[in-house]
Amino acid sequence: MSDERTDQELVVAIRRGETGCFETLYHRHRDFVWRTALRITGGDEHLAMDVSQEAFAWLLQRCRKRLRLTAKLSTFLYPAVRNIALTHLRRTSRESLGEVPERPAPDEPGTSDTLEVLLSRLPDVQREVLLLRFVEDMSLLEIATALEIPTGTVKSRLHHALKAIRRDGGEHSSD
Amino acid sequence: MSTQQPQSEFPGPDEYPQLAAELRELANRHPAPVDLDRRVVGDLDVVRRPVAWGRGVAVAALIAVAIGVTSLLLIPRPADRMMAADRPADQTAKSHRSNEFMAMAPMAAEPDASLWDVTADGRVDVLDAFAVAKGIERGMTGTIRDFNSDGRLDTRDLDVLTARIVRVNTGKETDS
Repeated sequence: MSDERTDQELVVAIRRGETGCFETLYHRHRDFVWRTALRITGGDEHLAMDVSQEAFAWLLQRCRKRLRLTAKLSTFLYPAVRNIALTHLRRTSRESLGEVPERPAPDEPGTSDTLEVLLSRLPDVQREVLLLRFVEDMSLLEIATALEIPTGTVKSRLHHALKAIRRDGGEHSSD
Repeated sequence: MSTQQPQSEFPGPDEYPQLAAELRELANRHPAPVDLDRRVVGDLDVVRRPVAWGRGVAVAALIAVAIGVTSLLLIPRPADRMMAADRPADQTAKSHRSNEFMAMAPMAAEPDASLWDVTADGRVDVLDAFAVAKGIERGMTGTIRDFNSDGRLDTRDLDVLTARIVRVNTGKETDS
């Protein structure tokens, strides 16, 4: 499955009735959607599964209508996944995004899980920006669009996140 | 000196490659489960299925039409079966008339079959139906037989004749 077409071209093809193109789109963004859903749901795989499935169903529906991508599809997908996840969380009476329980930190800082611990200590809004920038390789503008916040806020959150990692885990800031 | 720095200069994966690599490694510890593929792509199959059915029906219809047309073309025409030299003199003369369908002289051995044989060529076939259709179209109903015995000469008679032709051609009856 090596479809070289861009996301926008695939979206147009889906609207033309080439349903197989959606499978390409799905495989291209599956991990991103899954990671986002898993993180927002606080690691609840069952809930993340429902969220991911619903997100792709929503995307397919949008593709069949008139969807014009003005940015990366991930920028478009991110708020959708987040909103679906928050709806699910509200429905199941779980805690909201800012109150997702922190993962328990290991007793011995400095092990191979250190970075994971550092991440878990970051406020969600900072962790979110850091992961979008470093894992999903999104630009500041794309992050700002996805999160519907000013670019300056993105910079600020990213700055604080990096500062915290530098402060608490020197080995990760030695790049 | 530019006052606006390009965004690529802001700390990112290029400036912190080790941090980026470690974060990606962490993220990859939780790959999307196979069950998600089944659920999402499975939904796609549900969408595809009616499309596949539609295509199947369309192909089947095309094949049916092709078979029908081929069957019609393969039905031996009277002219092919009967050499001009072998035709009776009166029959040859009738074939030159413009209103050939009007010739109702019985040709076949079976009287019942001759009733339907409008063209009097010894067969009850699509040519008889054409002849009747032409007669109705031109208002020459006097030459059409009342096949359905309803006292009127119209397209219903043609329907009855056509139904009989179809039965004959499927081999269920061999009275022509």
